[in-house]
Amino acid sequence: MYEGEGEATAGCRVFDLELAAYLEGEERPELVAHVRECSFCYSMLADLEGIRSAGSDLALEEPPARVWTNIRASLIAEKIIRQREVFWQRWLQSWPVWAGLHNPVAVAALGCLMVLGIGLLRFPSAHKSPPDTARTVDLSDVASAAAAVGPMETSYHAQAASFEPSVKETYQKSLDSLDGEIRECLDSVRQEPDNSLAHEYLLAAYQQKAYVLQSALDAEGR
Amino acid sequence: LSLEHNLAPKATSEPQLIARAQRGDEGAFAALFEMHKRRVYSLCLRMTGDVAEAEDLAQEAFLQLFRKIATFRGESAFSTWLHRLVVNVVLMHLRKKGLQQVPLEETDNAQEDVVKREYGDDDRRLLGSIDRLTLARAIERLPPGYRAVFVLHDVEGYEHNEIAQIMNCSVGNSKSQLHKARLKLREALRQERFAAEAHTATDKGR
Repeated sequence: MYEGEGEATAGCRVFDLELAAYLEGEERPELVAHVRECSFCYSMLADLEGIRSAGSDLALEEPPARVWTNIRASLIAEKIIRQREVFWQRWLQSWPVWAGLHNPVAVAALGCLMVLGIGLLRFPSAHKSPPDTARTVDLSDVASAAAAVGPMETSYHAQAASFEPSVKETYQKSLDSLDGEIRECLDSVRQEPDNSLAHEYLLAAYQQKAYVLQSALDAEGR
Repeated sequence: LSLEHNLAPKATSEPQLIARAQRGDEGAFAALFEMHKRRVYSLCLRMTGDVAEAEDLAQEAFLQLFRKIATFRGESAFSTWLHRLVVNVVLMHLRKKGLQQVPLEETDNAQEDVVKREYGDDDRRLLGSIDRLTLARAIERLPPGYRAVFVLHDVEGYEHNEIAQIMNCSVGNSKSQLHKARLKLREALRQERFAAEAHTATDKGR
């Protein structure tokens, strides 16, 4: 029991005065002596020491997921996070200078888009009039494009053996698709020599093949 | 994509993550957030006592950190830098809110720092170990000034001279606030305990 059986003693008053300092680590012999005799002050000291100890041991709380979501959105908006460009963004950026393309993925994609475009549009039959906007393609343009592609293709095949397998595969898929479209265009031109759209698509396919080959040769030549 | 998906490999050290974040690498930002989010959020929560405010402040603190990360040169520990920043964000918020941050001088001689003696209680002492959840709730109910000093000192481990600097007060005031905060917490925990015991007794009497 505490001293005085119900009333604070002189020792308790010393305890009150010195408690804060003692909890801060200061030496207070009178206080230590007092708590050995006073159960009230002993309990008080034990409780406060327990609270101090428990404070440093509180469980950490998990923030809701939206905290990161909001932070991320702000970082992106402020351009602090530099997001990797997705393929189509790269492709669009390269469009104005596509003759200088060096990225096999972008080249392959261009080829695929070309093939897809040709496949979707198909050639109007010879019985239909070509659209007014269609530019008339001279056969000599087609012949020039085909002639330009020949030597490039020879160089490409000469160098392709030294390409990285994955790079080579990418280029080859693109070239194979374009060759397929060129064959289809040539068939259409043979069947319908007056179909100007078929001429136009044929020229575009040769030009596209030239770009792909030039890209491959430039990239591997560096 | 889950956050974990964006995380850097576990082997990546904090300095490496900081260097990557300085280059704008999203994965590094995410990893740094993961490493520190619980401590930052808990600090905000304990100092404000309010979940919504804690979310906003944790968000603001991390944003400030990431905006400034390019200037971090490693002179001090990253976590020290971060936690000082969090404390500043929270205190700034409390000041803006105009909360009655307990004027330290006014309470120095108040009755609150005197041990409350209620003689006659058969069992005056709190039951041995202190329930962490109950303590966390009691901390939330402390007046802001007491709460801030208690959280900074007893929870976060700041020294009184650091708290004095952060809170723009004297070391003596910081010590005084802390002592009063502990006394208030003890009283709150005792009240909780008595209420729980009374509730149990009522249930048994039915």
